[in-house]
Amino acid sequence: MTGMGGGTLGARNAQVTTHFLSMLRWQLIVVILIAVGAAVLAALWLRRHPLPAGEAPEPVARRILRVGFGVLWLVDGLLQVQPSMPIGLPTQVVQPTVATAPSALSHLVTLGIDAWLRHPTVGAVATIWIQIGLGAWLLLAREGWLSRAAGWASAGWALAIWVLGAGLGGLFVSPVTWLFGAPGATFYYVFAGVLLGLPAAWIARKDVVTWLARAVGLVFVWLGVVQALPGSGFWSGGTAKDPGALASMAQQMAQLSQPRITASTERWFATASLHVSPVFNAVVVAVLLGVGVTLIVGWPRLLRPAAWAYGLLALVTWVVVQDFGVFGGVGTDVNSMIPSSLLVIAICVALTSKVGIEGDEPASPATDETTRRTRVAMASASIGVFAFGSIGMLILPLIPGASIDAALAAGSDVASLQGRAPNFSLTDQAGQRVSLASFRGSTVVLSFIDPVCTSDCPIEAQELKAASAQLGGSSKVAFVAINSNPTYRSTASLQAFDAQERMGQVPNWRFLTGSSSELRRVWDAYGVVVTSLGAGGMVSHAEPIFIIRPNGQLAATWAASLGEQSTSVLGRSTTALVVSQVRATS
Amino acid sequence: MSRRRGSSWAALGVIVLLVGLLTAGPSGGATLAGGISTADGTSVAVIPMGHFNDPANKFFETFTAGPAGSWVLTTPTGVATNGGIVVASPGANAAAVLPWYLLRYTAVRPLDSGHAAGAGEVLPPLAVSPTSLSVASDGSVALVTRRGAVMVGPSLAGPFTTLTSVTALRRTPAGRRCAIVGLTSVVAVAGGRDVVGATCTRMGSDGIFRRDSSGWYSGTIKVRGPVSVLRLDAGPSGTFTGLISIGGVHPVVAAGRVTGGGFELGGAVRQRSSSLRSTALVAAAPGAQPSYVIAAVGTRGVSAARLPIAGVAAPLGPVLPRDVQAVVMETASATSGGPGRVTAFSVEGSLLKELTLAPAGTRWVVAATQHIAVPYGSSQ
Repeated sequence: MTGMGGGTLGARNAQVTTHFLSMLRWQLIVVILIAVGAAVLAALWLRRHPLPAGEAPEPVARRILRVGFGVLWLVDGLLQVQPSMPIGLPTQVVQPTVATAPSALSHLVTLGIDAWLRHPTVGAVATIWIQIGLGAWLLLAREGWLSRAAGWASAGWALAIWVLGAGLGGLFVSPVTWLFGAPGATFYYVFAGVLLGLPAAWIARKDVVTWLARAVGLVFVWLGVVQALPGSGFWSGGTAKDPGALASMAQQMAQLSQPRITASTERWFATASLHVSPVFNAVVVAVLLGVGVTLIVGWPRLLRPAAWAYGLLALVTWVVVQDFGVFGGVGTDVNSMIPSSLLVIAICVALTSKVGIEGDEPASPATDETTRRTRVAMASASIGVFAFGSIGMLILPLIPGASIDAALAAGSDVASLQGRAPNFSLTDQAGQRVSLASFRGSTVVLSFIDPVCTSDCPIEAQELKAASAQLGGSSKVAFVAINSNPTYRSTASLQAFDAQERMGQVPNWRFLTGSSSELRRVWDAYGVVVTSLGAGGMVSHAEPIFIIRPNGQLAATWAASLGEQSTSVLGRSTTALVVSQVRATS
Repeated sequence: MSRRRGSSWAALGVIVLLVGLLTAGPSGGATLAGGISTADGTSVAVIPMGHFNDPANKFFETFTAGPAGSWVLTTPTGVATNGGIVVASPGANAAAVLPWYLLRYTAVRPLDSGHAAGAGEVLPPLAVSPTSLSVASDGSVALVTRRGAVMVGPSLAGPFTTLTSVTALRRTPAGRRCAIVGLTSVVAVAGGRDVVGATCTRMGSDGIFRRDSSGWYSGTIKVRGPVSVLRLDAGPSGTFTGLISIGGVHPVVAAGRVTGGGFELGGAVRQRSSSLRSTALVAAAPGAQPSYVIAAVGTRGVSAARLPIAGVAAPLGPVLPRDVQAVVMETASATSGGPGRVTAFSVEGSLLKELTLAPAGTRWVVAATQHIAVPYGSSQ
């Protein structure tokens, strides 16, 4: 990988996986205790406070949503148990969704990623409990405010995922298409959660359902229009060498770790879509627009066919395009087809129900009271599980520093050094001549940064900035970076990098440059290899960090190497390592 | 359905369509491919290569050719070129590289055949437009930034100061008449008096802002739609030419000459009405005669056309195969005023084909094939 040295950060880092499974095991005991405790407390409370009279039977449409999304949350929670999640979720799932997003959203999501990656196992385990708790809560709480609260909790968590975890459902990742999951699976979770949060009787009201159907219909019309536009690559199948968007997606899916039968299905579809992509796209556009218009206009005769058509197409797409959404080690959910089908079916059922509550048999009051109490007690247990996970997630960004997982994940082996640090004399970003000897009396954190690198260098700079902040901006610590680009050597280049990364916030930040020969002497002295990758590519360079004692003696070094798909694990672990190593030398 | 209800549904449809248009399509790395022809007869083509659906692995490459020479790879080294390349015009032999989304400034360095090292400088973040960077004969530089400002400096090394901006122009009578929403192009003029191209939302203005002693003014144009300047180029003897798009149900791309009072329309072609975002036009570059050559993707393939600065547009050869991307360049003619050598570039991944138009103009012939080492994976 360019712009950095070697090293690989795998999603299935052995150290992190071990710690993740260990934390999961002991938290499982805690969660069971919490669940049992909450159920017992609820049962005791219900002895003294009888439940209010039962509400009207739950409308069928609501039951479809509640049970359907409850099961989906349970599945999502279980998918989070995959060992790749602590590192893979933020780096392979979340980060790509904001690669081309507006900077405000990108920064917001990056904050979340940074918080997660500082303590990856905490975030991953908390997510499991939140989603399993939510699923059980939805399934067990059938009526009353407890059930509505489950809907709002579901909507809230889904909204958080939609914004922070899915970059608004990947709306900024081209191509925006229903086939690949736009506007995001969690978008439907949010919608369903809000519906479940409304009083149950509202779903039986025609006026409410009609407006809900129109809102959903608009979304599908929009998806149909986007799908129909030229330029996204779906009207052309492409060639074997340069496949179109649909075939590319199928090829990517086929490469995931999965059962042989699904892989071969994907390979078959990748080949077939080279020829049938325009026809397939035409069907998709027709169904999306048809369903959308039907929901908006509310034609009763077409509702059932529309639901069938959508369900069938969604099922096919789920299998051959989205590959069930769960494979590859970082599949976080079943993707958008199942939740969107549930929503469409529920709305069609609600629109076609004559009284809105058909199909629910009134239960026997005598047995009902006992059953209802049991359900409330068990729902309370699930709320306890959900609350436990939520607390973990809420305190995640508040935990200072980085856990050892992050450092281990980066594979950063610190090597102790002895001997005098090679001296140098270069020009800083302000045009002042600076030598290593001039930092005598301060601990020096020496790094190598390319001012026009688009990958790791900006991240490394941010982590050095974070280290400086954690060290309290001490005047006894100097952060010195050596330019590692043989071409972009001007002080203007350094200033542009500093301005972009706001390195002016680091009190003792010096970004040094010089002539090509001066820089090369420093690179050689510190063993930094710099090579050009040719036309259109960056400069490749190693990224060691050296800690130099106040007396000019070398103290430690490690390779600040990021791996494929990594974002800030290294950075945060670099922060932790810099802080710990600087403190060790002080 | 009542009339009122019908109009509501129509309005709703328009809103949905607009939302669809605004949210669809590629969100990064989009720039109009093309190039420039320099005063000494050298032409530079900017061609997208690699994986077009993957912004991280779509790279722009520059190829340079003399009037009769072959096309040689001259992409600057040392910085990823995912965001696009703006060749400094006219003839500074430098290229500004827009290195994708992580950097908010622009790297610039000489076109160097991918081998020679040269000084690298940084510029303020350039607008993604083929002529957002211009170098005058005295070496002074003018550029349009992504934030909608025109900045000027004595050389590519800077320092740069702001000459004007969308906000400032909006306050002028000319800016109000144009209802200006963005800046696209600039031509640096020795001694100042730079010319700036803009996007207008009101009909009547040519979208080209000139300066005199009383300030900025724009010319007029009699077309049935608002104008957006696609590119501005310096012609001989202090003249300027331009390529504009005229909005409307059927967008029009037109070449013409910039005069003191307005834009004199030359050759023009109508874009397909189905090309809702005018994405049909994929490349534009100056041609011989003088003219512009453009490439547009249609349902049958890529159509090339020559748009004379004065005269009627004419197709250039038959429709090209429907490749992923195509750029058409017309290198300067050996005899002044005659037709130039027309080359169409067809790209598939890292394979570049040069197709030349046979003398009779009836067919394209593959003249050369090059495998370019596209630096996949080097931008992230």
